[in-house]
Amino acid sequence: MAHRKLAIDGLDAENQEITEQMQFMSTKSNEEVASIVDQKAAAVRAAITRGNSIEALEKALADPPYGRGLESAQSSNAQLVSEILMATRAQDIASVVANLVDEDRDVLLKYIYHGLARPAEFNCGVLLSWHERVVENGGLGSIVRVMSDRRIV
Amino acid sequence: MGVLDEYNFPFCVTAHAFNHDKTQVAVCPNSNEVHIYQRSGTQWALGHVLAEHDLRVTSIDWAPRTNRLVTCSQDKNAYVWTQDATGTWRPTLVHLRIQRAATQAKWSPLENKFAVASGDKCVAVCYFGEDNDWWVSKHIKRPIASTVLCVAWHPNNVLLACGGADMKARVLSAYIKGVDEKPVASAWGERLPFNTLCGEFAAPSGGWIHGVAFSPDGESVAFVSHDSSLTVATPASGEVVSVRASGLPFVTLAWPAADTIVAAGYDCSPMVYTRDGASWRLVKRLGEDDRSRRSATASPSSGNSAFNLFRQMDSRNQPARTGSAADGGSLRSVHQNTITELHRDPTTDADVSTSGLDGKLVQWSIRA
Repeated sequence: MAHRKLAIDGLDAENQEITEQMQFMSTKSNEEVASIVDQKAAAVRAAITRGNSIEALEKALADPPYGRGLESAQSSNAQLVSEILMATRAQDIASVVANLVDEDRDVLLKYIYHGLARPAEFNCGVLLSWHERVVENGGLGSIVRVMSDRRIV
Repeated sequence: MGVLDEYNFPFCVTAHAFNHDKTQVAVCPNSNEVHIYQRSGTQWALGHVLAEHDLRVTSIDWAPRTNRLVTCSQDKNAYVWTQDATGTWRPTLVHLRIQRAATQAKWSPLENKFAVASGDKCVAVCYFGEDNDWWVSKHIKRPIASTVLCVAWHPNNVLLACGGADMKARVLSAYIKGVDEKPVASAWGERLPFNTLCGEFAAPSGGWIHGVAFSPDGESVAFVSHDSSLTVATPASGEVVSVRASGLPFVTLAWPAADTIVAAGYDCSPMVYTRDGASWRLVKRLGEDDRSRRSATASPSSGNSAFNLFRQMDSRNQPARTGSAADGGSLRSVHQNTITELHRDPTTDADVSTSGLDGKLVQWSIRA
């Protein structure tokens, strides 16, 4: 319940500036980011066909597109990550997750939540089994990090 | 390693500060009052109640040498308390000039200044103006963009680290002309007039900065943030090392010895980190190996205690009764709720003290 009838934060010009400062903005243009994702895609798919999920994930999770205005690049990168997750056999998930570095594991969790938020586009059953393994390795800390991070994928 | 002393207060302890020889402790019972307890045997006896603030007291700091207290509160005020000849604590109001709540107050190492963090996007650096017989405050404003949640002093009495809701930890100069000697040049900078920005660091995944601390030699600064991480920045080498914790976020930390950092927070156990080459490694969750004290097996981070409780309720078709389950609904840690503050011991670099929302005040030894 609001205690004030007047939104005082709107009266402060400095506030707008701060809000913008806190939003994560990408320094690259949409086209640049899209081309980076396309380049990655070929290498990632090659790794998938070789059955090397770890290499594929490391490539797909490196330098993910963050920030507003990059929605198309973001969704194609999410599709790329999801392709790897679908292609990995269920019994290999634990070892793949255990071999990821902490940083990549946190990024992977962001993509898992990205997928779970769009059940029409992604296979949530597979995502949940990945989620279980990621949280087993990274603990509650990795969930907290995804929630606190403003660099949304 | 382990618990040296444990005392249970009948209220949440939201802030605490020991005096120089740990015979007295000032605690805030989550209200507008500060209670000073006197040690008597293994117990603490209530000595004084300092009731000058109008709203909840957010921070207490006890200067060990000059035996003065500084308290600050959500009522936007800070008081410096001195004990007169009869033993009564007398408050002196500090004119902070802030328009939002004060969040944390810390005496400088020489105890001639203190810093008050606030929700007014500034840190008030206060010193005693002899001319006016009055505590004067000077504001560090730029480039702080939001509420400051924590402050820490560099051993040289000039530099100040602060962190807050703008998700940046900063090292700034709090040099006061006429009060401070010119600081010697270090990796933080050579000329350090008031409000000089000497370093700005971010956590790996953002999040509010809940606690900052300088290393004992002042060469590095460490901070904990709401993304469950501990970050150590060393300007001389340009290294910024982050450790991602597996549990819930830390809210407070201390750096008692060169190779040891202790952090604590929502996971209820103080965690000891030691230097491991360039990085830092978790070596100990304090108090969780002491099985003779606690029979519980579930740890808070595994998330199993609640699960087991529900499963038990389900399989036995029983309603939940606190303390009835095998693990008693109690955590394996000594604290049974969030740790609110962790301070290094004023007498030795091997001990720390913690206070928690469960009302416990615990003194720990961190030496192996």
